[in-house]
Amino acid sequence: MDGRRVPLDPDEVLRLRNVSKTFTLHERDVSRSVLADISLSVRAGECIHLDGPSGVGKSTLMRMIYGTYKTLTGEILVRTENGDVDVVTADPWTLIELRRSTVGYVSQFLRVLPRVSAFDVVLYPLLVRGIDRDKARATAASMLSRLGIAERLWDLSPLTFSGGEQQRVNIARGFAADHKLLLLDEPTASLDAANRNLVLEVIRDALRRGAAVVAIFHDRDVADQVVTRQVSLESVSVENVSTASAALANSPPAAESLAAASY
Amino acid sequence: MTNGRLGSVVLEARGVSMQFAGLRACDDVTLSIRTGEVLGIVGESGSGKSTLLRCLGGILQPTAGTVHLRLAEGAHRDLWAVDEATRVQITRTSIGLVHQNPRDGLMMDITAGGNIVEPLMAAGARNYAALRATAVDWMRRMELSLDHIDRFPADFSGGMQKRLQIARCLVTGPRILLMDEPTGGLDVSVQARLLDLLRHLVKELAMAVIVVTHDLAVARMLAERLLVMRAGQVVEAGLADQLLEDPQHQYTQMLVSAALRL
Repeated sequence: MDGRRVPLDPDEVLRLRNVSKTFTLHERDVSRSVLADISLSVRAGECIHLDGPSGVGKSTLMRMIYGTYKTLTGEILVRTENGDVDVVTADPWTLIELRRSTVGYVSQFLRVLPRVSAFDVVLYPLLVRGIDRDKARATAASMLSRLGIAERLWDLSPLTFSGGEQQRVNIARGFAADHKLLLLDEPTASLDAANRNLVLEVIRDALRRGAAVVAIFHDRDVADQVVTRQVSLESVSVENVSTASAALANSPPAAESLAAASY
Repeated sequence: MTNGRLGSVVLEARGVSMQFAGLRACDDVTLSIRTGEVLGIVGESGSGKSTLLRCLGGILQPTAGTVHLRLAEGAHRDLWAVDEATRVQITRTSIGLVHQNPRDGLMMDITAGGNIVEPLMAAGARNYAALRATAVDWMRRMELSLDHIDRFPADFSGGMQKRLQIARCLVTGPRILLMDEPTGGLDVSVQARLLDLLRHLVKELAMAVIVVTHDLAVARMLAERLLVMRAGQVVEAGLADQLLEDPQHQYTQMLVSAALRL
């Protein structure tokens, strides 16, 4: 690829260009190539479904966009209020700002500190985004209500909640701050039909206000209800004139190795 | 952090080295930190983390390097280029250092309340009613029972001593808080409570915080950015989640894979 950076189009929120990922384990002197030469563009109001067999690198790609996995080749451009940011070359401070202002990441697992109430868990991303406290509190309350978390639970730590309740608190937190780019890794996994619909409605709302969504859904039927475009990781090679390799069968080294809270 | 943006650089260390007879405890360390962020420094015992913290905190003069601190009025000073009186004045008002061992950070022969307000008295405060009110306020914020305000820290548990020490460090409204193993020696439940408290303080007080710890889980809970130290050198630096989930350096990979998984 050449070195010139082409700015994002006006309605383009995310663009990956020739992105590859290889995990190298120094101690055992092994390298595993997971993704090769991926190119992809996502526009405002689009919900992209990353599809492909288990192990093809869907979650890996999501984590690369968020900056949790380091990308060494290619370009990952994200539109922000202050111009395009390339996740591949941005310094950590820029990435911290990018996460506070623009990019939200929701997995199916809630990671929180003990003792922090469900309400504060949802409030936190609003406060770090600089939203006025009263307005932030109103938004947090409305998100929890929309996701069907009973008000009597708001002051309790979500660590005491059921799996489905924890997941919905996680969604409430992920969608509270109106991020322009949302990365959803199986957001509806293990939810019953009623609660799944609450989550899908929240996703639709985000799309209506112009957010771009990149999602992985376990269930194709669920995906079809919100997804506007399917991107099959193997077929990326054909459609976008690049090649995706699916060399990795197992999870990459060191992934999910810490049980610690991440927020 | 409350305003949603990282502030300006508060502290910038360049090429900091500390040579003890024959041993390089710190070797050419460069780092900077902004208002509103928590930087974690991780590494095994003996990697030079605590030595570095003492150099940054103005209590151990490095053999080489500079430690620039931005003061409240916007000017900045190299801690190790000013005279000692100036350095003491700067460290007293602008830097809080929470020691690993509470006995290094508390005065054991004065009361809890006295410990909290002593830094203000050292700076000249003499209004005793106001000082008492300040002590009460910080006891509350640190979730310390007011019943203990006239007791001596020697009677306190480890977790209470730690919180008392933090109150004493924060009472002057420092620009930067340096903490050496903040949860060291504490029960798990007490650790969680202290971490929660610290996170709230960082959010409220718009400070910069540097946390030295060997505990990767603590580092991840508190810090958004990490430095990994080994044998006095920084081997890897970056976003906390990136460093722990996709470590690039061989040593960081070893450190992460050796951590207990729950």
